Amino acid sequence: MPKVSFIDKFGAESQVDCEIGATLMTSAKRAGIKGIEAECGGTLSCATCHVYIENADEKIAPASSSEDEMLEAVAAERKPVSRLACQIPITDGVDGIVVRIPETQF
Amino acid sequence: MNAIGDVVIVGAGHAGFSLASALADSGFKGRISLINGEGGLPYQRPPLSKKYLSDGKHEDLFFQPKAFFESDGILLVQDAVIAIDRAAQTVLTKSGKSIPYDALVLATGTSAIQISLSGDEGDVAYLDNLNAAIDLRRRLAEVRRVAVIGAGFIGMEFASAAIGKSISVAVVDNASRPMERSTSQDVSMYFQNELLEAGVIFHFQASAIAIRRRDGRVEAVELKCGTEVPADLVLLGIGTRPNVELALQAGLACSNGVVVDEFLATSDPHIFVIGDCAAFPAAGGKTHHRITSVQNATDQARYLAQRLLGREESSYRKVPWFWSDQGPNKLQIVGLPGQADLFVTRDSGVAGKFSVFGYREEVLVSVESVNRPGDHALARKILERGISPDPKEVGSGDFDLRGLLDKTPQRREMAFNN
Repeated sequence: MPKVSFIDKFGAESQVDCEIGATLMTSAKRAGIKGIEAECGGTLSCATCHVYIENADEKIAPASSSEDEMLEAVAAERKPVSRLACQIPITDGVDGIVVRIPETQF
Repeated sequence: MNAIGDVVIVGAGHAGFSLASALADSGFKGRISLINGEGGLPYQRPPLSKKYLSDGKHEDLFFQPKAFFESDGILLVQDAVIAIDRAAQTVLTKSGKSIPYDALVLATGTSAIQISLSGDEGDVAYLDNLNAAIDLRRRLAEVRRVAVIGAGFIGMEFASAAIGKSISVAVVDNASRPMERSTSQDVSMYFQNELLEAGVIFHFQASAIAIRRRDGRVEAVELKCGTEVPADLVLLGIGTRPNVELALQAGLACSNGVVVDEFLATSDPHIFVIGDCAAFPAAGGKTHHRITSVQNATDQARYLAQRLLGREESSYRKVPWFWSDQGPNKLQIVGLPGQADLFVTRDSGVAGKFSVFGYREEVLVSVESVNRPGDHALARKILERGISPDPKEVGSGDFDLRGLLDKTPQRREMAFNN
């Protein structure tokens, strides 16, 4: 299973084994990672599963135009590395990414 | 407000769960009891009429796994509250427990409005909880023809899911168009046409009066006009009613919801109400309204958490937003289109992607976006900041929405009048 590092707003890091076929958002929820709210349940409606992925490189497909548009609604600062975790499917490719959780989702 | 030891939350939907979670997250030192009358782990309702009906995973419905409640010190009580003893400040549960509270929060939500149609032998379906959704998902795999009574959000979402499974679908409503109370004409007609093209048959300005059966099985829905709508499965989605029984029994004022003030408190200073069942002040306090949405539930929950912690002095004020997924189409709404007296459609130049700006007395009160998440994202900020673009300009696709935000960087008093 691909391993992903989540770093919470206090700087604490957790390694999570993610199931292929899940999304980054559902993987975080199942592992009890806090700060990724996903109020709409992962339907690209709310922009509360905002994360920063600094080493995405070629590991993750770029944001779709809909994701890019919804990123306008995030509560914390939008950065070039901003993504919505519900839109990132878990594949072998995501192994080793580092996901930072922003200060707030609201 | 004095320090609070025991917070008891009745109802573990979006509102109740979010309050427990926000309190735990904010360093609340007392005891949090989250009472879940349905049993099991708290789950999300919105997917039940959308993705869950087709291929959604059961485990993805849960807000958090079991371990979350233990590690956060949230006592998840699998029991139902049957009465409130306001004098003793306790709630009584079905299993006979008496749970004391310093603050009691009612987050009891809503239930589907049920009507009795002649010929219904208990197999007319409603969709307002997980068990109902599990049952409907199973039945959708077996039936060929579905009749949906009610063309609101639930009815339209269910119809979209069913037609996606190659089932014949008919929708009946006494209104003249889908989602009539909550959307503008343009948005309504867009979704109606999308479903028409997918093969759904609509019967508007029509009411269902009876279920016709053959050999014990449902065969058709009879309409008042005499038309018979063939169906193996009938879903009733004609609206929801707030679950106010506990509050009524405890002598709290109820009027289309449990009545609260601008701080979400009832007339009893120890009892608060959040989410779908809360009737809170609107139009500057002249009236009360109830908003049934995830946003309202979670914003009120976070507000009340801060209030209970003594960190919030101002009244509750948030711009509501909603969403609906119907087949491949996404509708996102900010504000309340039902309040508008003028609608201006902003065309993107691409078919099937547009937004409708709603104005009341020339002030922007709502923006409905169809497959335009960017407009929606900006519209949330525009309404939050109380910006009202000129209705004569906003319809042009060239009009720069983002520019409005850049021009008004400071947060002004919200024009949106809860």
